[in-house]
Amino acid sequence: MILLLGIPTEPPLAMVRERLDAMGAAYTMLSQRDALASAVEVAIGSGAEAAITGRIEVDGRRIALERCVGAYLRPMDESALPEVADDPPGSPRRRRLRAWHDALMTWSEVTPARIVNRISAMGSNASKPFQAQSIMACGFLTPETLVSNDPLEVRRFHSEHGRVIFKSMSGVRSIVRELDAEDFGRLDAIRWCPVQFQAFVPGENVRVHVVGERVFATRILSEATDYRYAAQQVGESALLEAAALDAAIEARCVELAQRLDLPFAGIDLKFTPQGETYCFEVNPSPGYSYYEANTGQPISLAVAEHLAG
Amino acid sequence: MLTLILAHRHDVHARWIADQLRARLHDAALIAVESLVHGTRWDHRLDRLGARSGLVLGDGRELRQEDVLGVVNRIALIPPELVGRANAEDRLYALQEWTALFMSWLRSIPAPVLNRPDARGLCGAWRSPAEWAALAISVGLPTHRVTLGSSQEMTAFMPLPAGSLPLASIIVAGRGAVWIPRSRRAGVGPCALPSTAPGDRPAEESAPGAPVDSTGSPAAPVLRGSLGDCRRIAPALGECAMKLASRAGCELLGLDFAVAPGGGVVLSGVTPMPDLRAGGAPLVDAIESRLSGRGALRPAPAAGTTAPRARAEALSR
Repeated sequence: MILLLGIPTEPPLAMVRERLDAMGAAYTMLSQRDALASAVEVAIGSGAEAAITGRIEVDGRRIALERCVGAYLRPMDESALPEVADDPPGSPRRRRLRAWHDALMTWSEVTPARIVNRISAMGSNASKPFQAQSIMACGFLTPETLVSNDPLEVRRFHSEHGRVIFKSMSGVRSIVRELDAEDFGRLDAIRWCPVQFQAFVPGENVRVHVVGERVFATRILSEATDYRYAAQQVGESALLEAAALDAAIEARCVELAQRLDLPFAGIDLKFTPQGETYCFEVNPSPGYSYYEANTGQPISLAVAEHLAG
Repeated sequence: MLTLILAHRHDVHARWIADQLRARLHDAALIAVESLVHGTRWDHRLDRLGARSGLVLGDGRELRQEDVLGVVNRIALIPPELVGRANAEDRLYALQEWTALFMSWLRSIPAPVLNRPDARGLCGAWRSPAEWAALAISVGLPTHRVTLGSSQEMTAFMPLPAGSLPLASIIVAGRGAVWIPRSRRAGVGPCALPSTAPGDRPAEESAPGAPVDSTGSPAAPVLRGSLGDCRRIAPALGECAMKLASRAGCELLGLDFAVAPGGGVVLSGVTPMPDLRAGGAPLVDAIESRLSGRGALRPAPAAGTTAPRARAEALSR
């Protein structure tokens, strides 16, 4: 049995579900929208009770958690679910919803089943420079980075590198922007909260999806500083095409995903005209559907096959 | 070389360990998270040479990572009140950014750090009681059954059989473990635990059922001991505690044990931020040993040099 957790219509989850259907694999969709009508119990015992056991009741069925061989977790913030939109903070329904998620997430942390991906492993992305230290340990280059709350040091860094971008350090999504003259006028604002600046690295963006030991590389053709926002930044969307990577780079990507304990990872690379390979970050919960839809790469099939074992 | 004690301003354990290390002539500086967020000039860099930092504290003191002998890190989180009076969204953003910086900075320090940050927490790999229980079982520690579910909110405490009484704590620090009695029958005063001699282990029971380990490793046999075995079970518990700390990725880890009404010993709590003062001199020995790599007193300074104690006191003002 494979568990799928999230919003069933969300493309990454829906695409894996379609592949599991095609494979004839047994799975259960745990929709967060139905969580209040579902029940979960998990037990962890020692001695004569030494096992991780539990059950889920959903759609009138009872599923033993011991039978689950894999789970794909794509949960949204449960406090933002429409089902509890009118409930005040701390309401019994909100607390029950929280407990339902806590139980499942705890189970996913301790079960030997294949989990894509454990919440604990996703935490490395909460600090990009922290994660970058793992990236460097795998032999990738990382852009020259300054994190500072000192405007003078930022000016020096800019003088040294010419083109500098800035973006969030944490897991908060931010649009990558180039530091420009207007920004210099408000640099004093960094004194209360340090900001991450990086030397701009020219070259070709490649998104690599690693699933277990399988690697899917997608080349991105765009002039935008942040290709995810290419239409806004340069007036036209990025073009995506499947790419082939050098075997050594592929192996390094697999090693990096394993080091971060991520069976499924989205790795952002950049290949410079000088032949160097930079790695910007590793996304621990990749929204791969955009890449699959544009290239036909069978990423969802790889995820489904990984879950099935 | 400087030993840093990083903590929240009112952390009495941090002040205690700083005083203890200074009393042993370590150059120990107690630095509050408040002063690191307010008034410190940060320069944290990553490049081809790796990650490194240079900090200038509010009073002009420089903190260079090559001067750091070791770190006792007791910063569990960045206090929300430190990020000013911005609107809620900006405050949350600033908190996450500061946390991200601390994670990277503490990871990049080449000297020993007790504990290093982890994806689960700023001062070590925090886990829920259920996760600690699963990990504890995998190294053979006796635990009470943990249950959770949609009709049962998660608590911050490990469940215990009704009527259980505190027995003792163990604090692991690097390669050392200290036994801290919490009941008269567990002994008097903290003491360093020796390694278990062969043939001196209490009875073990093979744990039936599925492996209780997310890696799929087979669970270790579970220790079975009672209060009457206290002298024998303490070293064995210490050995398991060391394994637990190693698997958890926490070089500094506190474990609490209780005695169930039937007399069996059971794990009652685990924390990466233990009660240091209770560990007394044996714990200072273990921490000192881990931080310095030798555990010996620092030699007295040569004439004409600044005494470490004076420097440390100046740094801790």
